[in-house]
Amino acid sequence: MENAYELALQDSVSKLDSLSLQCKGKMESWGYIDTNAIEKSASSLDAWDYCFSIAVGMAGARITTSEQLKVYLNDIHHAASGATGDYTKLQEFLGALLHHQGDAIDKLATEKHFINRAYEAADIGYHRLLWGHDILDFSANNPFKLMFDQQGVSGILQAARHLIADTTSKQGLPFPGSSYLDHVNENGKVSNYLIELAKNLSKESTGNMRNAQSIYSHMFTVRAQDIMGGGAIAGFAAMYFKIRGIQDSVRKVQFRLIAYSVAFFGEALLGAAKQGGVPYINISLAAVVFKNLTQLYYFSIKETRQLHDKTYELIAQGDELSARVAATGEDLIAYDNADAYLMELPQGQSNVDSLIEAFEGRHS
Amino acid sequence: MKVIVSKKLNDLYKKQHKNFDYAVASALDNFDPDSFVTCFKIVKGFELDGEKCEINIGDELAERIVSDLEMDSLDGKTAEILLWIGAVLPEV
Repeated sequence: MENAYELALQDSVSKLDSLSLQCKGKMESWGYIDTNAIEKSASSLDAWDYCFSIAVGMAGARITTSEQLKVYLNDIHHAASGATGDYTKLQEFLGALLHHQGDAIDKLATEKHFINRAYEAADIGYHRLLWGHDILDFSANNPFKLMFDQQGVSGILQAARHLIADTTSKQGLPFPGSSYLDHVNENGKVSNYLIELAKNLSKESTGNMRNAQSIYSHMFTVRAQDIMGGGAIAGFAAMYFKIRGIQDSVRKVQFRLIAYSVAFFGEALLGAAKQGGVPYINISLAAVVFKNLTQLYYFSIKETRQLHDKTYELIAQGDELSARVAATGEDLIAYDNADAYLMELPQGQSNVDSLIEAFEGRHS
Repeated sequence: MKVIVSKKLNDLYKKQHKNFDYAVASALDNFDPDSFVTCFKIVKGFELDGEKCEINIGDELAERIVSDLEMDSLDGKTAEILLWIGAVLPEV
């Protein structure tokens, strides 16, 4: 009988050993979770990345504020407008490529001077804002519609040429959607809130309206020079990634975000210095800064989701282990406290003694 | 077409990186057509001081000026007035 008791005890001990081994195995497996499945959430930028992204951003700001480039691009617009002048071969070529003269976008053939959308004389210096240059204007004043009406299907291409050419002008192309800011001014004439805003900013910063044209050009238009600054940053960044063999998407976005932000704020500061406190607002750069911020947010959300999924996977594994533990110990008697286990031993011994007595009694 | 204008005016265009044709065309595009012909005809005494120089303006523009201002031909004085106006207007 003592052997049977011993066997039961051994069986229990071996089950406990087996359970202990399983737990150990499972706990060790937790250490081998594939962390590569979760992309790094911390910044992966090193010191070189910081230095180059700032340098590239400063180069971008230099390009967008370069007076020489502004003059060069403006000459392309002169050439494209059919004005005679001393142009380089490239300017002549681009001028021919973007040639526009007598287009309905600027002026209807029936009109002798620039007009606004109410067919009144346009405010001097703002004809693009007040007529035919807004691609988001879905009325008859849409540039593609105007050019289609004037030249047929080929007019659509001509509209594109004209709008691209205008981005090289000193003033630039009004940003899409600006036609919706038209209003009737105090003189009863159709104008645009952006003109009023530029004039007011000029008045506040210099005491007169002399800077209004410059403020308007650097705040509310799309300029080729601004786009070139952004393009240069993208090019430099791509070269840097290639040279250093950078593949990590998060790192690339972080690098670009720094570079574009430096360029954007650098240009704004230079503009503020030139315009009595009114910054240059580079809409093209602002758009790419926003795009990179959105990308960074997307990657962040993606990582959070991966961590979330991995956490639920671990919880499921924990539940599974818990169920297995419960199943292994199903045939074991469980007590609420340690005393009950200690009490079981004399109870078992007393059972054995009773059996022995019973056998002895039967035999006698 | 060659016209004789004030050298200082020419220097101003160079300094401001303005283009003769573009500035004059922009000026014409911004004028009130009902009044500019009369206005030009009443300007008799317009003359800029100082040295003169020869500049070149496009034939196409010259034709346009003649047509818009209802002139028989373009003379140096009219070209100078237009270039002066073009110089003071903002270039866009």
